Amino acid sequence: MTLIYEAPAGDAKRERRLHAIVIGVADYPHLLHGTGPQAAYTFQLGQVEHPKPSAIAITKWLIEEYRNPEVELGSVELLLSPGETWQRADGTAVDVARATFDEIKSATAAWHARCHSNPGNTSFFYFCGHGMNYLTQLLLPQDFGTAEVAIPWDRCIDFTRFLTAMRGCAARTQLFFVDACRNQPEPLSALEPYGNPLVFANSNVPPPNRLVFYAAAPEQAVPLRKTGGTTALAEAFLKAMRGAAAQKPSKAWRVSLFSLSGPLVQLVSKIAARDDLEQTPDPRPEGKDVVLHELDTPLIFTQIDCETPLARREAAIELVPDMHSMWLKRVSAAGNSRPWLDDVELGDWEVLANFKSFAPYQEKVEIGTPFFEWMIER
Amino acid sequence: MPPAAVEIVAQDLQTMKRMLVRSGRTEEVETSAPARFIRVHLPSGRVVSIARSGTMQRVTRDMLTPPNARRESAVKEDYTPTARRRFGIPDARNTELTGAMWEQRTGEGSSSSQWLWSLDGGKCAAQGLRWVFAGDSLRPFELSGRFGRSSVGVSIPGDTQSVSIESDRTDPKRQRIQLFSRSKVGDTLLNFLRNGKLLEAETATDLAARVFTPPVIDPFAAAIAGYLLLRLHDAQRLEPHLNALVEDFPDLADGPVIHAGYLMLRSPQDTEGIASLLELAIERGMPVYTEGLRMLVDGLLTLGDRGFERVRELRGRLGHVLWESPVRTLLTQADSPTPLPRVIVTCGDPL
Repeated sequence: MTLIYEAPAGDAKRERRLHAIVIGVADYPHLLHGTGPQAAYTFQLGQVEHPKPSAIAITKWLIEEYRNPEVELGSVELLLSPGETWQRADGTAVDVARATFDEIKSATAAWHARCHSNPGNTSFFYFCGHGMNYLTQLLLPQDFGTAEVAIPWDRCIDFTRFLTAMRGCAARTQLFFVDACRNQPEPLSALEPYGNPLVFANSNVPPPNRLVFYAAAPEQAVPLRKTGGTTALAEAFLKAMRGAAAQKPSKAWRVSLFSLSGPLVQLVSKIAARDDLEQTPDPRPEGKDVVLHELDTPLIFTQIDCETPLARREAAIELVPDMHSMWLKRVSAAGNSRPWLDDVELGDWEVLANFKSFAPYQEKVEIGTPFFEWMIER
Repeated sequence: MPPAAVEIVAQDLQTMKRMLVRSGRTEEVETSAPARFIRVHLPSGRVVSIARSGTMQRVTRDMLTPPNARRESAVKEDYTPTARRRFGIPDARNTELTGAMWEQRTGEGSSSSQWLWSLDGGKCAAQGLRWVFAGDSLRPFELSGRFGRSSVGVSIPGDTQSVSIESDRTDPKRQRIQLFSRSKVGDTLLNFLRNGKLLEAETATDLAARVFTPPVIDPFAAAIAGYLLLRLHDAQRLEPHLNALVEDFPDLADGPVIHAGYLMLRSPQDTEGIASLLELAIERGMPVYTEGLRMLVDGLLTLGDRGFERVRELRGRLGHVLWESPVRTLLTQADSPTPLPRVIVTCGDPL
């Protein structure tokens, strides 16, 4: 089963809806250290850790937090490798299908049909797993390299051609997040790879408003995070949608197509830098700006640090909210790792810090989008 | 100070107005309520909030400079002019344009660098190099660098005011190339496009359209404006100027690419028209801007098998493309798998 969420029957076809397909591939049996027969060409690719929690986190956000009264959530197709049991809000459990090529192809066809059913729809595509690039961007499903097919490329997704084909999809707003490498491992070029575009084009529609966001610059790999959990892009996406990318053009806080991509670039780089990694994402927004998501109070990625190593070790830091707000004080005790990172409600705060060797510090600050960085001058 | 997108924020944090403000200029904004602060979106990606003070808000460079940067003492480079060359390129109206460029060099460290750089065939060496241009060229220049058996080619737009090269003191393979063009708004837009900041870039749409007002004086600024309008799907503003961009500037490959981009938006079924424009761009020596190179490759890939074959040939010719660079930057190396030298190219004020 890949369809883990669907709006009440009948509504999805008439109203504007967001239809999502989320794919996380962390298990590659035919690549290095896999459980199955090893492929003739592994391209030095092995098992990965972050795609599954990343796909799960994105899916949970879509179901539990996505909010757009004009374009409500219509459906979510989810594919995970290794598999998982998904608990729905109504208490039922679903065995999530593995992200094999056949399952991806079938789920994509169903997703595309839903997206195509109404020009007011928004399509949402997220892939996390192995990728490589030779002329086109290739995404690898779980069963890439299986000996059951003569040519490995028959179990491979051609994302570049898929994107071209999606220009013909009626959905006028399209979001694509490619959380995969874009480099060219040896001996890829010698093998003249190709992939399957999954859908086919119908060109008689105006070009969509779209954001294609790659976790890595062209011809580059996504650096592996040293800690477990989600990828930098998945973490950045959640922070962006929860506040960093929020704007207030009217009375409500909103994330739009244009307001999302800039902060997402900066957040990916900052999150990677936390792990001493260098990651340059590649954003491709185009078209007209459209509202994607609404939220109440933005949460802002906040970083507070001290200038000297001694101050860093000694600092007991508090973030105290303005007396008129209802937010709770935040505290980071002395000895905690620095910089202090937290997601804090947007607004007026006061930074207080006490030390053994320095005078106390106090400063009023305004925490605003896209993120907040503060250096305590001690 | 670079042109920047400025956001005026109300007491309830609602954005009242967003606009592009150029350095040295004053913009008047009428708001229905007092502003709380203004937010300056710099082309480098930094965002600085400045509390409102009265009805006249003066923003200085100091206000926008990070605190730690202010405390660092500026390293003053003392450039000595070493050579001067003139260039003259006849334009479509057969008017000889004359300009000049000066090569300058610092006296420090020149013997230790393993890099050799030259601009359009001139010869120089080492770190601490700068070229300053007077007058515009309708064709781009080519900056060539060599490090051992690796080589770098950087396309320099014809409206460049200065190019400087600095070495990393800790890593001899690493070089930073800083370009400043005459069009400060162009530099800002290039950076906004590169960083995905379309919300900020959109504030320059009217200005971008004005660049095309005949006669087009700066085709390079016009190319950047063209890329912005394509990203915004603003085909209507672009359409009247497409032929001029292609025909009046035969040394500029970006013109045909922009025209092809327009066809991809408006008439994607016109594959022959798209293909012939992209081929014209290749004949003209590839786009100056990376945005154009990307559009060229993406455009070819929409043309099916023949497009794929063309991209395959181009990949062999191009070598390694530095896609993060705002201008076309190609690295080739003779010794693989030796790591490529690291070249960082930036446009405009790094503030």
